[in-house]
Amino acid sequence: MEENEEYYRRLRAEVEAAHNQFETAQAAFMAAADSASILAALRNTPYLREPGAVQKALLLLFNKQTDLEIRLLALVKVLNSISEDMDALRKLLGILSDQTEPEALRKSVFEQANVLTFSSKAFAALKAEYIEILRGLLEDRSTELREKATEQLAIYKDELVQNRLLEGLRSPQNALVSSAKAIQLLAYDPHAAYYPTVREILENPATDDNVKIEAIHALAFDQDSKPLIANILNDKGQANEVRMTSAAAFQAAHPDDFIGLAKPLVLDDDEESEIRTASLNALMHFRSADQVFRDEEFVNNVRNMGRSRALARSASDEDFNQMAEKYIQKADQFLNRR
Amino acid sequence: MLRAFDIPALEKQHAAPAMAAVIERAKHQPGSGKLLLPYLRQQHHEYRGKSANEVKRKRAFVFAAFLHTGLPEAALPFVLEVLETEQYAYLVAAAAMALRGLPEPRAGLCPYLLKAVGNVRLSDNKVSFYSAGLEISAQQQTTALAEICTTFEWLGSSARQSVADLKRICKDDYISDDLRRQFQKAIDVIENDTRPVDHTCCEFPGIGATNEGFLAKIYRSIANRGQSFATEAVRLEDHNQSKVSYTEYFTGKPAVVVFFYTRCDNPNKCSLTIARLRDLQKELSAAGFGQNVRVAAVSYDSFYDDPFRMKAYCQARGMTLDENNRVFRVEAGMGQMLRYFDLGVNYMGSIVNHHTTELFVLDHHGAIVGRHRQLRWKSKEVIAELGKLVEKQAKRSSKISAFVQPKIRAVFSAVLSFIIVFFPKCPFCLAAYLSVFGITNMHFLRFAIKLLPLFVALLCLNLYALYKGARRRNGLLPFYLSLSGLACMVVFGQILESRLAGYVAIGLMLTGALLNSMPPETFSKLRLGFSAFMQISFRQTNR
Repeated sequence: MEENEEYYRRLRAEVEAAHNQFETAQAAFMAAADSASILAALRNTPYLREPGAVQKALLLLFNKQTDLEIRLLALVKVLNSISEDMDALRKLLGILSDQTEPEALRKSVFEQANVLTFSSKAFAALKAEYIEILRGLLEDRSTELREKATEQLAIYKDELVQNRLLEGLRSPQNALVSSAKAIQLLAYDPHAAYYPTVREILENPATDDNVKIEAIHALAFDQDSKPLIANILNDKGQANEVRMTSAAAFQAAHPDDFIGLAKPLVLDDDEESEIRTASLNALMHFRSADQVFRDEEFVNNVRNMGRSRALARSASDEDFNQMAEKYIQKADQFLNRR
Repeated sequence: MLRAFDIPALEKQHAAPAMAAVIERAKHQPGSGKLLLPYLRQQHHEYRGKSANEVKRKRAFVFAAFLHTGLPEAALPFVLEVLETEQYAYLVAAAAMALRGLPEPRAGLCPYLLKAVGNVRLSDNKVSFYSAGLEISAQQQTTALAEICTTFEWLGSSARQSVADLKRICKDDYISDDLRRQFQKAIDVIENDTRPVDHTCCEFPGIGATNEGFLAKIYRSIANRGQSFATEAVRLEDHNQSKVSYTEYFTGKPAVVVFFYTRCDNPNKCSLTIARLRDLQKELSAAGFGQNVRVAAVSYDSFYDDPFRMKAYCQARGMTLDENNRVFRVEAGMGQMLRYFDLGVNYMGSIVNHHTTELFVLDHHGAIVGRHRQLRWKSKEVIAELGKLVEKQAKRSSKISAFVQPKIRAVFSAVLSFIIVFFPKCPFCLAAYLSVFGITNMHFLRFAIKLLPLFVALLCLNLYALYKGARRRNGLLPFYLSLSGLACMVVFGQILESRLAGYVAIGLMLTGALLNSMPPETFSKLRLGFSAFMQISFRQTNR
């Protein structure tokens, strides 16, 4: 009982101290006149709450003559207090769309706007205006803002940005973002019409591996791309990472067909160990043990791979051996239970 | 009045011209809204292979055009569907505009507009219908909420019942100040409007067994019989990976079928469909039909929706899954399913790009007897339809024994096969059939009266062909029968307006065409057999 009282006493004291510190900081900010003291006051306060302090911070923020660092800090400290102030939010969006404003400030406004999309009802009411500003940013001279706007619009499944991303894939000189990024963003909307273009990119042998990986992710659940992804999985000329991505995509999208592809890969001594290990692991954790372990011929083949497994030359070979042992144990348990 | 099932015929007329051109032309011809009706169907070929956004945008332009052309009654369910379910700003804005194409405001529209406010308030966007090419434009922009507000203003006194809801919207934190002022202005207009209120609208019962006309029933019955052969090829896989044919599951008991897919990103469509199906299951049980009716949810998306996904999706929404309540994907015969149900869905490759909400009621033969589309089905209506089917089946089962029914079916199949074999392949005879059906049913099609001379010309051509070919074919009997049919149709059907005469005329002309197309040796045997029968009857009568 005494311990509880002591705890509450100390807690009360800490809260009071924090409150006093906060009030002192607010007062210091209100009293600060020059840039140095304003900056110091802003650094010392967690946020601004008093109407007077908020007003002062907004004046500093929207004044282009104010020191950039002060404007950046003022934005962060005042955001919670203006999150439901529609006029203030509109002015904030004005900073975002104004190319004469410092890029660092505009980026900060962009980040804070992302927070407001979750936390502010008033900002939700301004969504149409916000999207229009984002569309305007697609032509912005700041690369980073262009890319951020592109991503945000893609999250909103905006048709204009989807068309621009597709155009960029077909004509790289018009691209908003890199091809890999464009495909990733297009894939946010499975109902977007990117499939034929991305399929063409994946079929092209000259395509970069990073782009291929994104393309495989994007096309995983497209029925028309199924043979293409299967071919990539079986193609030993492809990079391992690309083939592993194909395996994961195929397994997720076409699990029953994946079994037929994975088994020959596992048994192929000329196959990359990484691929064999991943395939065997996927089979072991397949949703229907019956479909995997009922194949006694396959189980025996894995068991009889003893001689080739003994010639393990690398860590990945060793990984495969261990996986094979686990598989055999699991298979034995399954077959004995039957 | 143009009805929803007339729309497929109109669709074929507009296959060739570009959609944008049709819309632009219609906008400059007030009263030409019916030109746009084919584009309202989600399954229109114009939407095939397009992204979901593009389909919705293009449909939005169609809806927006009704503001200029006037909104035909047949389009209203499509418009209300958008307001009820869509969150896409383009579509909602356009639907709100379309309502203003009605000749008069109607009070019944208000609940749909209020629903649309709720649907779109977090996803509103600036949209424009300026571009003649149906493209996105920054000119003359509006928003969905602004258009809804304008429509409330247009409704005036008819929206008085919604004033309390509109005042609540004005207090909504998610509405901008500009919109708040606009809604307030609409409230002022509504409160000061003294026009009388039209309370009719918007009841759109599903087209089904409870309200279908007699001829529509005949038409549907004939269409179903033909299509039912196609559904025999449909194979389904259920949530437990069990495989059945369409016929195996959907015959024996009446059934309810809905369509959905798990990748649907509109919570007001597929997710709600399954949730409402769960509620329907409970109501069916409460009504005592649980064991007498089959319930099915079929996926539009056979490739992605495997049994595990479908099961998880439906169970998460509380749907009961058992022998009489299943969820399926179509393993084979998706094309037949699309055609048989005339499903309101379209695809981009293998992925659904747009669809409606639809529920079908099937009788115990698997034939469609009820359709509830576009608007949310009313459970009471569906249960009433099912109740009648269950009752009808129970009466039939007690009257016709299991021994007799297969015999009747066998005879019917034989007769049908006979008709199909001897169906005329001659183009003149085919023209005769078309003209007969056209003339006797054309009073249903308001615009087709202009085709009367064509139908008559085709009939005369058929008679001429029968007369000229009499010597080579089966004599003048087919000619006399078809001539009698034409005379019956003209004198009794058109002049004396006897509806029965139409059916007699059909019978005579069909018989004439059938006899003409019969192989000569078969015709001879039939004639000899008939002569022998007549002789025997004559002798018996005179004994």
